[in-house]
Amino acid sequence: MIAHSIPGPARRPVPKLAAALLAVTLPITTLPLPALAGDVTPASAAGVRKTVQDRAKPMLSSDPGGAAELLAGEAKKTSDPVLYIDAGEAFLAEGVAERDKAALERAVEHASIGMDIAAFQQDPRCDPAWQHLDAGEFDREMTRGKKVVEDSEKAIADLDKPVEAPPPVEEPKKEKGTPRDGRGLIAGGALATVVGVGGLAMIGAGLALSSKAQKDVDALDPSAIDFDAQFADIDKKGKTANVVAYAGIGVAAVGLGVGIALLALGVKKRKAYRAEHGADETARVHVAPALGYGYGGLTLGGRF
Amino acid sequence: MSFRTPAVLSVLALALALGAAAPARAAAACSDASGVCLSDDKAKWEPDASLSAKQLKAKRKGPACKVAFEIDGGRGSVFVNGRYAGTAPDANLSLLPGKHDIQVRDGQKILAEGVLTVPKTGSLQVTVRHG
Repeated sequence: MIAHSIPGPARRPVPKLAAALLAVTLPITTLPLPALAGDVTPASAAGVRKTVQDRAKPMLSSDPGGAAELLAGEAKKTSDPVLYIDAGEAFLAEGVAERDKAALERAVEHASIGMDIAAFQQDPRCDPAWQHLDAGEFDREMTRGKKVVEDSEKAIADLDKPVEAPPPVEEPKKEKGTPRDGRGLIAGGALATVVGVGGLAMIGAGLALSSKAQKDVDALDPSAIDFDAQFADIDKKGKTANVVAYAGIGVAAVGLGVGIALLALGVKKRKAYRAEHGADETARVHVAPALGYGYGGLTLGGRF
Repeated sequence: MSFRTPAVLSVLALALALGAAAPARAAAACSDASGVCLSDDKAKWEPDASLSAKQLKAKRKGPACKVAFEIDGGRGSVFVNGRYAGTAPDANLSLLPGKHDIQVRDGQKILAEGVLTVPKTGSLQVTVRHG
């Protein structure tokens, strides 16, 4: 009977022990597992990386070469692809600032290694206990690495280009004296034309005087006592008028011929000059009819 | 000596000068179908093979063998047993004798992957063809 007085659970200790073990075990398994030696997780890698980046950051602007060496050294120690690409960026900054081809080549090398490691860590052959990147960081780092490589290769190509000497600045040739735009021909032509117009005036005057002399002769009275003297006088005036008219014909022919020819040549030359040097109002000639009560003719004006 | 002799000698001298001036190739050409060539007959390359987790953890014994990787026509990083080991042409590794899981890649392009059996002694030259 005594034996039966013993409570049931005391005779069955296993469930109690299991419950106690479960109660003790649960909190332990929820604790973060410490990484084994040599193992790398994204969290542990990020902690190490931040320390290095914090040291390198202030140097990036003042001493990109020093920052690059620091990042490259730590990248080699940790095999962290992010630090390799960081080092690539720093070498790129140094290479561009110093025009240093070797630094640019190291930028390509480090960024390429960073991309190799990042890509390998997506591969099934990679040790699962060796991961520097979270899944979401892979694309970002690959894009960054490619940009470093592209920018570095472009900078190298720019350095390799031969430096072209700036073309010598050609000073515009100063034209001595007056420009050869035909203004001399136009001026000469205008003068000759004026002379020709003068010749026309001589013709007109000569003809008018000759005509008047003829009328005066016709009006003479042959029975007059001084007929011979007046006739001789008027004849002399008529002959002089004829000479003036004949001279006017020559002067007009030569003046107008030469003047019009020179004007034509001058205008042609001026057009060619303007086509070559641009329009410039340097010379202008105008001829206009001039009519009035008792006279008619041409007016010639010009600006040379 | 015929009149052609000076011309022939000139051509030979020119060819010799050009040959001397031409840069030597960085790596010996690898013509193996697998894209991987080994300098030692005792070493073995099994393309596309891989080691199990147990094989990877197995302890290897013996003196290390110097293994130099060269990339024929480019560059590449070498990964041994799941981790980064170095980048060719400066990838001179010390590997213990036995089987190793190897991958060589240039960015996202895998140049070679498989199992390399490293001999017990000496040194080994591994040439991987790029592209």
